[in-house]
Amino acid sequence: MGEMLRLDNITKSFPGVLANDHISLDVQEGEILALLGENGAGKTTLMNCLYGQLKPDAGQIYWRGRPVEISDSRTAVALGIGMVHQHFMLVPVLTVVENVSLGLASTRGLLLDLEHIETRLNALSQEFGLEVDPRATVWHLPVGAQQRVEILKALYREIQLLILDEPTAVLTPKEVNDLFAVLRRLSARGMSVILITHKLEEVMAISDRVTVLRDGRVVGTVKTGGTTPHELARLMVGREVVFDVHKPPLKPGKTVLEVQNLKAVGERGTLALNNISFSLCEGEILGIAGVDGNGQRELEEALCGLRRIREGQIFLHGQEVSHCKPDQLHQLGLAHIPSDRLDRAVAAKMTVEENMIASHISKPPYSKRGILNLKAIRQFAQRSIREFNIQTPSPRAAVTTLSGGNQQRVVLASALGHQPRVLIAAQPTRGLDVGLTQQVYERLVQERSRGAAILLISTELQEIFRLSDRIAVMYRGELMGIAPVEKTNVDQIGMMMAGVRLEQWRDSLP
Amino acid sequence: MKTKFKLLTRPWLEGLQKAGLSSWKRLAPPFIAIAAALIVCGVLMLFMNFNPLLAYQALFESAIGNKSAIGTTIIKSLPLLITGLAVTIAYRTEIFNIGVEGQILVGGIFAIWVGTKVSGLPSFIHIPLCMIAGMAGGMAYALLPAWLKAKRGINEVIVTLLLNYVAALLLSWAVRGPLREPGQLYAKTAEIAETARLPILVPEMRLHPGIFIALILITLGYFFLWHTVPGFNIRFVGANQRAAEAAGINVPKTMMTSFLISGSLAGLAGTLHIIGTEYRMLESFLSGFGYDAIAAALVGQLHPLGVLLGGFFFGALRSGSNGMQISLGIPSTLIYVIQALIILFVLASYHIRFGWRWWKREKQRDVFKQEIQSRN
Repeated sequence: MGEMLRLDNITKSFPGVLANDHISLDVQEGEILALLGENGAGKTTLMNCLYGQLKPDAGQIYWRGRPVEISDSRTAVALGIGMVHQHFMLVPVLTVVENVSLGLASTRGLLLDLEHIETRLNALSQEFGLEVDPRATVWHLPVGAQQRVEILKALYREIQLLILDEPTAVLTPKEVNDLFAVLRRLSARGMSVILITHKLEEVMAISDRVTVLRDGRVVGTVKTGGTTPHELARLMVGREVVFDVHKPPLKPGKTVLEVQNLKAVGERGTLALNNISFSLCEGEILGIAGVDGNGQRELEEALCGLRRIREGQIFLHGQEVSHCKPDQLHQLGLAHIPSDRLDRAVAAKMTVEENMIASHISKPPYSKRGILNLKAIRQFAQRSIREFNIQTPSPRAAVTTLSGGNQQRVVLASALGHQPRVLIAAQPTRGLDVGLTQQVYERLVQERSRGAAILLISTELQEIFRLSDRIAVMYRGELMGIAPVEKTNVDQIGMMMAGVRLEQWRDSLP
Repeated sequence: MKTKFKLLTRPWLEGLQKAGLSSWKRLAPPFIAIAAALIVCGVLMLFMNFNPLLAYQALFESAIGNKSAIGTTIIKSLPLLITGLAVTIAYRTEIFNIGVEGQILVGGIFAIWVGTKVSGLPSFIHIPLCMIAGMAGGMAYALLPAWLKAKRGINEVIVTLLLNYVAALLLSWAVRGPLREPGQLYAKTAEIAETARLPILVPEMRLHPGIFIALILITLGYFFLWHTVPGFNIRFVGANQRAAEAAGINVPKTMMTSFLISGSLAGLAGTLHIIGTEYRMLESFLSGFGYDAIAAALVGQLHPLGVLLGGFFFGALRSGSNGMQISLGIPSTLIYVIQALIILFVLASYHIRFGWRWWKREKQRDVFKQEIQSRN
């Protein structure tokens, strides 16, 4: 077994951040190397340097012992390096074969030779267990299948090293197992894999070696067999992780949010929410688990008045609000932490204070008879900046100049600043580091103690388990069941995430 | 009285504050662009065997050389100022109202109708009535594209651009048909009644109070955008429509509001030109001023106070170009070349700013490198 790839002192800086600081690592033939690190540790930056999408400031890449300059992804692919990005690079309206053919020279000159590609694709999918219909249109495929298409695309180009960026974020537990089986087959054929992840279980399950990054530096490379998850966590975070949220016992008040047989249509015109029913009490956190893309976003939007409801009803404090506008819902004490920060949560060009106050701007003391009270707005902003510890030069700085974590704090300040009675928190810690995540957890528990009813929509199972009083699981727009957190476990929730109903699961028990 | 005074002075104080040292980078590009355009055009004149220095001297003199020149510049700037403000307010919602050209004309037609067909009113009623009619006309003409944009998401640029042609034809028809002055060989409307005309304040400059209305409107425009709830909503929708929706802002309503305000301002610009200066409409009424106003707003970086700079500058170019032609025989169309160059350079200046940022980043990178070296 020889060395396939070596990175020597790769350094890459962005304004204000040293993303990669003299990173050195190597990958052997047939090896699965896990690149472990928290969000913002520099994993993706490093791989983008390797894949030719970023140019390192300093350092050298060696491919099979030979120094190489990778100026773009074409060069990378030509060398034999393939990458599956976290966000897939597929054209949704084209078929699988067409997607694979993009950018390839045809053997028939100007004419497409899709049949030829299809034959080889079928062979490849059989060889590696990557089951995909080559003629299917990509957007019809579930996320797991789209990922297989990405891998096939790389394999078709005869790569020898496959980089996977957070490949399991969108998969069910079973799909994760399937993926790992594929990776093992690749490694058995002498191909190498770099797996970017921040999940310890995965590292332990699949990798041969682990390189741990923290704050842009390599803090250790260890053989997986000779380490423990505990040691890895310590390396990754730099201190002992205490992920314990102190949660006072549940004291549910009266029901504030009730959803009955909710149906709504998604972007593709198909039913994205089907017969959703649940209720939520004061002082309770209801977690909605599920693999990304199973209707969570539509549910969030429907509850916040941002998506039209086709059937069913929503009651807030006993009052029907099924077709209310967002501002009416805000009036009734509903607050919203949107799942996608730059899409719905902040207007990046506007200032910190303007973003914090946007949903309350038309109410006193922030405005009277249509005229803004800049003083009151400034005071609120300064108070929130202190309370949420937001790092910003001034309340008048544009949000776009803040780091992602601080932007998320602005979102929290705007949602929690006026003591909401119902909070829809969708992916509240997405993209935050461990320290910040902990802060958000504590804050949400505080709100719960205050008596707020919280709907926590999250794809992070750990988060769901730590915070929720009850857990519901969404699968293809339906709720698979709702269980109190003390009466369920990861296995049960995992099965529900894969589409098994709670009742069925109970029936199947001996 | 005191609060009113504060209301009028605050935007300027705030604006000047913002224009302090910290934002000279924001203020510089238009000036650089204007200078660059004048230089390039000067070279062009050399090739045409004109002395650019003499040409610019003539341009300068006939734009602001004497009282009458200043008067002409102000009169030509006035529609640009108000229409530039119209463009700016719409643009803050990310709506590119190319339709100001047509809204000026329709507003003017409404104003002429009230000015010529209504009589027997005292001035203090007739003048405001004309202005209201003009604003209503501009607003009505913005209604269709505004509705299509807000409710149906149809691109406003295409709709308003096409409506501009319709407006020009509407004017042709009006001056030949219903509003034509009887017994005249040349197609034009009758003059508006004496009672509908703004008083002339300084006869040798033909100065009327419209300029003060423009200054007040620009001040109010600033106040509106940065100190009122609808103005806040307009800027928020412009910055991120989906976030605005989630924050509970009524996006279609906000779009309608800004588009209709924009249209009514354009209509008012046409009206003031009629009741203050021309008193009638010809087929060529304020032709091209809408497009110039877009340029003025762009040079003014789509900020109400910047519009003031841009509007006066383009007004001065328009009035100066005549002088250049008369004293040196330089075709006044060359002014269009200068204008086009300025717009190109303003757009390019955004890249100059990017370039500046890039340079700073490189410098920062050097600092990092030194840090790293010192660490090793």
